[in-house]
Amino acid sequence: MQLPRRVPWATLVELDQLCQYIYAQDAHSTRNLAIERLSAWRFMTPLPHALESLLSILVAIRQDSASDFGLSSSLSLRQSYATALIRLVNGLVDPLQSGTYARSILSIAAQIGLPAWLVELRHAATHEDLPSLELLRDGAKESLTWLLHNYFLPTLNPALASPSRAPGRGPSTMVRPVEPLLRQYKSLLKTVARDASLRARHAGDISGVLREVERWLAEARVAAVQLHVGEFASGLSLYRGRQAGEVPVVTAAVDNGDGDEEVEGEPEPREAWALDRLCDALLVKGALVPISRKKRISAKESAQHPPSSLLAIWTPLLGSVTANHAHFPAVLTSHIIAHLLSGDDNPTDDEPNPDDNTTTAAAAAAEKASYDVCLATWAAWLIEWRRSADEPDTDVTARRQDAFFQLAQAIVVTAPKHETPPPRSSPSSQTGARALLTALCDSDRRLAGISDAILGARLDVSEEDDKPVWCETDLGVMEARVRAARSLSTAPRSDLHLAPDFSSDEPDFLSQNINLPDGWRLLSEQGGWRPCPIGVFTGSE
Amino acid sequence: MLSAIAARKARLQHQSPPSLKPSSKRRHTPSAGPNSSTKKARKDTSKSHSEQKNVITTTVSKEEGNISLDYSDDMSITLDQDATLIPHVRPLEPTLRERTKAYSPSRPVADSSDDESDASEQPLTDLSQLFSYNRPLLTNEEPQILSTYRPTDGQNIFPLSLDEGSALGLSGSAIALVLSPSATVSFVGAYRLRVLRGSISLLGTIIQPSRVLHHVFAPRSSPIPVIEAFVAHGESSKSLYDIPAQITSTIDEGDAIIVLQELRTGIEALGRVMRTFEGVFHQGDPEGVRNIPLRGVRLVSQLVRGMCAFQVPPSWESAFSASSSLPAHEPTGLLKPHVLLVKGQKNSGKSTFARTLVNRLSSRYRRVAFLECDLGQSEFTPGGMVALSVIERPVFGPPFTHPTLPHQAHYIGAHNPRSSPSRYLRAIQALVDVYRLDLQFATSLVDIEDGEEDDRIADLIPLVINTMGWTKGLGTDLARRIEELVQPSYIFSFEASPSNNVVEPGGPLVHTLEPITLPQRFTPSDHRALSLLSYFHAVFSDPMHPTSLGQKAASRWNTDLPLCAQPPYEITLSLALDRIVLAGAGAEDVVRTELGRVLSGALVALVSAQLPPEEIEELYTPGSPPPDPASSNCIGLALVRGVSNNGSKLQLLTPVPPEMLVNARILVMGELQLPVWGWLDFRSAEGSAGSGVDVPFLRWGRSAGAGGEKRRVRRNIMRRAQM
Repeated sequence: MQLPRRVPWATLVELDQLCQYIYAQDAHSTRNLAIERLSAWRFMTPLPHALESLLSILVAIRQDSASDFGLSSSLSLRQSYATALIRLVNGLVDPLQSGTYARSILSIAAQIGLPAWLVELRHAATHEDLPSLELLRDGAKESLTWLLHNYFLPTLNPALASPSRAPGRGPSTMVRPVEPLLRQYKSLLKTVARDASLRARHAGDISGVLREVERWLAEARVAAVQLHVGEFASGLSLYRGRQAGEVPVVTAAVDNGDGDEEVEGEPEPREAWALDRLCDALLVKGALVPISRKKRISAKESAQHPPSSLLAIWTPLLGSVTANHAHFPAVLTSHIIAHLLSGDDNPTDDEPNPDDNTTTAAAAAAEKASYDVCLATWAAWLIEWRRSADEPDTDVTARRQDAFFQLAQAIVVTAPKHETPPPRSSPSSQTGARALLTALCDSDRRLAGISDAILGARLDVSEEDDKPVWCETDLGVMEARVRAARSLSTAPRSDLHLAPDFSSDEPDFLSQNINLPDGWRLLSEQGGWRPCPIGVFTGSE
Repeated sequence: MLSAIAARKARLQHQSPPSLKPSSKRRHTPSAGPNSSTKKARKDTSKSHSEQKNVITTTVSKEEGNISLDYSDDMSITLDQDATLIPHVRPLEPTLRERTKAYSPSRPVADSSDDESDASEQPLTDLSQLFSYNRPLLTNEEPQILSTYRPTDGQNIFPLSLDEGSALGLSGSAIALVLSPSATVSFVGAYRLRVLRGSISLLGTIIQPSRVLHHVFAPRSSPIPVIEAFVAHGESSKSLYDIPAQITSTIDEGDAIIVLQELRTGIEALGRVMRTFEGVFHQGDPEGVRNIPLRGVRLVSQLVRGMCAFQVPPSWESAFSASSSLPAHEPTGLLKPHVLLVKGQKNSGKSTFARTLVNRLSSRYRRVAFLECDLGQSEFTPGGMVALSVIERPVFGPPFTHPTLPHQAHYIGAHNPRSSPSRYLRAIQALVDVYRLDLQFATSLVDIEDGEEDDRIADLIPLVINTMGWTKGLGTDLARRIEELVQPSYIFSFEASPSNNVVEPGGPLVHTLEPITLPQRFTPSDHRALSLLSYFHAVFSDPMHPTSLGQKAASRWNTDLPLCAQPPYEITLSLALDRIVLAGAGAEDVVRTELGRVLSGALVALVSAQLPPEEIEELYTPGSPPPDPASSNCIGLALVRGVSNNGSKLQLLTPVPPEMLVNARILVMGELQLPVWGWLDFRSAEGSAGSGVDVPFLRWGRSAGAGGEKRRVRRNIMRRAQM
């Protein structure tokens, strides 16, 4: 269970209102309200750093507009501005000082996209002559704009800013590409796989590349802050992707059960972003899925897992990344599933495959099916892959379930309706998804049962298109499905608590009407009071 | 995996219990420590401070193999499940050496800033933080034996029939344990305990046969109390009651007899409220030692991971014996009340020492006064207030098990006095005045004659003062001012001061104590949160004695319902209140129109005060100071769970008994907040309250925007030049 954070606003509407107070066209009249609101919030609970610095800046601006220099010296005004800006920059930069040694503030500011001149302003205000009022005013204005784009907009639109995958993202400018690293890795491993005697000679190189990948992840993690902003700008395309029936990636799914070092169910957003980028690169043709179609599926072995030649190449990398980022397999699995369901074109490298020039649509479809099936085998393998020798079976089962539900949900939802069959998600484009579903059902009989109940029923309905949309028996079908699905989630849990069983039969002393002082009244559920979250007032005024 | 279990079993068999039974020759004096074998080990390590550090580091790295072995072995026990909820816990901490060496850009160094970082928090360089929580207190290689007692039916354990019980003045079922001299027994859980014959030591306190049923709370989250029997001789071998025949026939001359009964208070379910402490009252004993037939109690034969035993260091023992022989009279023949002040750095065992001191004194005095000056970790009240409490019974358990309504208190509203040092000092001054005027000769307290003979001193009340752990910077100055205010007759100090043991004429006697470092499984803010939640769930009204004076401790905990589902009081501001005060940095900027917003979900103190009539007019004036401690009293805390839209009504939750609310006409809001656990509904998995509404003021998931988190402070960052 992840604990929520205390925030000063009751709902995001209040934060939105504050944002309007500050940034509206005629904000000068409402900024006073914003200062009052922020002062109140500040007293209620420690504010997020962005809001706290915002308050200081607003107060300095108000002081500026009110002062006529008749009585107050401009020095105090410059000091107000300077303190506000120093604290803003420090507070933004300090959380990124995550290493043992201090990094330069300028380099961190570059990563989070804070204008460099604000950092210079901070330096001057701290160590040199107090900057001029003109410069400080500009700094305050710049800071306000920066906070709007980097704090308010992402916070008010968490869905758009969330670091889940955004198809069609432009090349990331801040992070160097990881593909060359992967290519280097792949060629090394191929060499070793062909001739085992070379293993010892290349061991150092391989571990070097693995370290390099790890370093890349660390860099990407830091750069993620910057990219959030860009992602927000391209949020519209993400939104369109969602509308088309793409299942949102659930990265939190897997790790709830194991009690190891995982203290949170979700990877930290920046780490998740970095892992996402790595997954993007891994899904490119030529990485996990080889370019040659023949190499994708092994003929001999059961087709549910990738061929052993592929496994030999990629397991060291996957293992190494997983060792440092326990969420990686889950992220990769989600990525694959999302891709299988999206019906997107295959992610290819920038340079077009020479074959593609001449392929017909049918060939492209076959190519896609082959690619998807290979990815499906990877997903199936990832789900069954044990992180450690003693990983309990329940974890594997949980992973299967999560994947199953993602798949089943999407397949049911996007199965053709008689009105408008969306062409992109037609069943034919879900070959990979169905292959994975079959693989899951093969390894878990319970899932097979549910699959029959849910997906089979769905097919029945779609065949009876001419019937009335709703009939009595549908309810029974739905209940049966709910039962089937519930049977999975109600795993037996041991309740360790001694139920304090005395309080139920003892009279409640508080509810006896003792003489309360004037103006006091004890509410009760009989009297119409209803349990509700703290912060909500129920009852008459 | 298999070999690990085998190795562990072999280790367990290696030390068989009987061989560890200490010889009873030395054990005739009740002042000896609870466990002789560990005492020896402690002496070895405590020769000098610097040497002790060396001992710890070397044994720890040597022990690393053992630790990981135990870890893989105990994977399935409940301990590990709650470990997943505690973000600070890293079960396999790197050793000291690894930690200083390994630097990698991709692995951030652990952040030292607590979620409420104060200047008084210790820096990361503190040695104790580098050890993981699960290491035992002492660096002993073998698990420490906590119970030499093994229950055997008809020999040393006797379930008492109801008749036998009522002959002893007990109601309900009970079991009697016969402990041979110097036998030890420890339990995890909550129980009531009475000594019938002989004497025992429990948490550093000697308990003689009496009619008192002591309430003992022994959660795993704090040191486990070890009951050690002493030889029954002289006075203690007689019993106040006729001991049932089935027992008398089997006991030896020197055996001690204790009676245990169930203690059901609902406190166990606080672990549901705050899941960090889930299951601390339960202990699965891995070796399968026979348990005693008592619900909610588990016999613990030896220490397992995550637990430590309560031990009294020798220097404490001598301090206690000095305090127990305080002269009751001045040389001139006047009665002489004693003021005992405990001081030291945080995390040195100050509160534990002060609590044990109160317990020790309560065997000699009928009442002991306790002045709490530590705002962060208060013993009897929730944090944030300076409180004067009167204690009549010894308390056995960590602070959250005995919330007590104070005799008088003043709300400071923060976990340290940094933002209001002068008000803090005035509050202490006011409480010391109350003690001097009303308490020290027990003038204001009416004795309840309950017909019991009580040979404890009743007309003199000693005062124990626990000071704060903030001993640097402004803290030093405050500590000195407090000493000047209270003029202690004894000072128990955890740090060797230059004026060590130098008795100035007329000045206080100074005892220097050796600090104990307990494994830090929970952070101070965890304990603060638990204390506060325990307070809000506590039920202080005693159905039997609704108006009893003296110590008003919680009798049970209403943990059936989360706070959000408990019916609140509704107050009409214009009728019930005279004033609302906001105290703390920045409070002056809160304008009247924002008051309702600020109060929503706020933690407030209920304060009674005599206000001059001309000041009553305005309910809230920005920047108005809190009532003067000299003429006010904080009755308790309340949670404002809702504010009506027009701001005319508040809904409050408070554990304060209704009859005490009459004078509470002032609300003071400080910087303290209800912990997030208190906002949640523990009955639903998501934590939101039943109706499916989102909980206001809470947000799940991480913040997306830059600067969306609270400011965090790191003090351990280094410059390249410092290499």
